[in-house]
Amino acid sequence: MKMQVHTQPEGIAEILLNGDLDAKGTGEIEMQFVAVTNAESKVLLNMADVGFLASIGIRTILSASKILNRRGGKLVLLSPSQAVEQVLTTCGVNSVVMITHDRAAAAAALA
Amino acid sequence: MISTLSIGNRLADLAAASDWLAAQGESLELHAKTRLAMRLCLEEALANVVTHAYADEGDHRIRLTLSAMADGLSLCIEDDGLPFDPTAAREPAVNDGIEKATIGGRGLRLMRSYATRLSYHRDGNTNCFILGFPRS
Repeated sequence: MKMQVHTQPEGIAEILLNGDLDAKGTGEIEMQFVAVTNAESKVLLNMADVGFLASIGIRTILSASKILNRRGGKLVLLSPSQAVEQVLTTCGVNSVVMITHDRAAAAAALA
Repeated sequence: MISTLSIGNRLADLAAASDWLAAQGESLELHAKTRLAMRLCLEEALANVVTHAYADEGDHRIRLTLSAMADGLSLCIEDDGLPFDPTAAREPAVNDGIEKATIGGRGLRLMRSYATRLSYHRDGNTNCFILGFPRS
């Protein structure tokens, strides 16, 4: 799993993930992911290139979202694949974290 | 029985299990959806075992067996950990807002959603957890 961070307008930190969020992949990026979500307040998690998502990855996402929320920040998930989005909705993540395929809507939600 | 694999009880061992299952899926020419379901359920079941099954820090073996049944495929996961019936475990409630959201416990929901059937029995000191999938 590879992770890159790009700074977008309006102070949004976009995290781009590429790979699988299984036990191995999540372990590879977790420290860096936590560091970014602890340092930023507006985080856009771009999941377009996440090929597989397991509950260990969901745990990392929800944990980050909680911490951001407590600090008055927010996490939005952008463009998961159909298969990954099905895993997210099966687990009810969509009811507690915004998931969108519309970058403008994500930016508006983070503004 | 189609294939069997024995792995260790560390998180690092999950990759070998996933690779084994991917090879079986390719060999059986399974549909991508079925392969995904099997991979996801295996990941969830094994993560539970390596994380929660053992009261000690020692090395244990986990046995995986893929079999063809009359109604589809059967993936059996056997471990010598503490007795645990995943089919009887409760899932966390659906959450109201991120602040109240539980962080863990979603693996069970995924297995129940992606496998066609789940069954469990204890054989001596061995947990036997069996997941069913379509053979297509």
